Amino acid sequence: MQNDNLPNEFASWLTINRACNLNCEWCYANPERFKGEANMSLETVQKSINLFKGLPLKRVILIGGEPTIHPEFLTIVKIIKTAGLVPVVITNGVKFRDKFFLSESLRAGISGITVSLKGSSDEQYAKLTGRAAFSDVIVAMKNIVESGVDHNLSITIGDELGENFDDMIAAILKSGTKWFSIDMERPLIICNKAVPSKLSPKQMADFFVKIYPSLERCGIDFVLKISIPFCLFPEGFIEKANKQKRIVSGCHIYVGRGIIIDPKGKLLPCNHFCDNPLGELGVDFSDEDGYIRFRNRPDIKEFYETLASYPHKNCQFCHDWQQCGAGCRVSWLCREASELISIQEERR
Amino acid sequence: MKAQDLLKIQFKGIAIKSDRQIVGMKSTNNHDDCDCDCGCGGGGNCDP
Repeated sequence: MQNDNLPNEFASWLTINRACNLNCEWCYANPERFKGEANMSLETVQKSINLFKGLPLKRVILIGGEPTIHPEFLTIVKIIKTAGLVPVVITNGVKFRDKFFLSESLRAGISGITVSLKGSSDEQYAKLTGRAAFSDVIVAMKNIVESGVDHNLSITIGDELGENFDDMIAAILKSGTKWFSIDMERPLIICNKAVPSKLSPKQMADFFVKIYPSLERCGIDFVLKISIPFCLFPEGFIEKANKQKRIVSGCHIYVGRGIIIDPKGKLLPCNHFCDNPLGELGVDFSDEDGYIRFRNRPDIKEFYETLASYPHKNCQFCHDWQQCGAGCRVSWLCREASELISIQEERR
Repeated sequence: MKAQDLLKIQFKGIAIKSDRQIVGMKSTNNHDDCDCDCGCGGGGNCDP
């Protein structure tokens, strides 16, 4: 595919439902917001796969809601696999407590499973997700590890998990995972308005710095997913963590690498824009050529150019820009630059 | 509302055009075969 405005490779997500068997308050796809919304139809799955097949991409990431409770989950996995693509899933893990469901999923073609861990006890799960599912998720994680499938345990830090983080580390160890990632809670967009995460970006940076020694001591491989500007961290922290191979930053949205299709066939810039699509499959484009034309539309080009631009004057000369990118762009919809950029600690 | 309109209305940055592409940092050893470059940590098992 030759086009100067487009990346050489894409990453794809199919948001196949909005329903979930948990009810996490902080979730961008909180089911309360999508009550009654239908699952993605097999027709939309097939149309999406037809588009993906024409583009330079390999993996199709299934996400929700909770993708494993889609009634056609296994069929969708098979459709992706049969098309020569690699299906992976992001899940709360509850369904994989059932070893038979796990083996059926693997047989259908699932090649990777990321489990999102929401708490460190049944009590905390009940409080945060509405269901005391911790024990189920730990069993599920053990099943997944035992199966040998590529896996990750993902923990998103919000204000609720900030306290007693040692309990989270104990839960991670209990799961038997080979490695894990620590992510940051991101803002939501609700009713066309971006709503900031409860923890400020600076609080998030301080928290990561605080827990880092405990993470180093826990003996399991881990990464920190940094979605805030590097200049919010104390001098030397990013450099040290990078040297230890602990940092992942950046986002597909900066270069428009992600193709995210929601249950209705709408194209989202990322799942945090869940009610705000860029376009629609079958209306704005259907195949590779149509997608290239769509991406060259002036409004779409302007959208991605704005996202790739320097959001603050300090970023222009910052030597960390290409790795940092000034953090998650949704934060720039709901926070002032003074909360996101450290003027005192700017890195030039 | 379309995403492009939302961005126009609510973006609080100053949007100075950049010729330095953001590539992110992936210092992890895990999933060395990762090709999606989406900031997921590798393997494509990521939440956008």
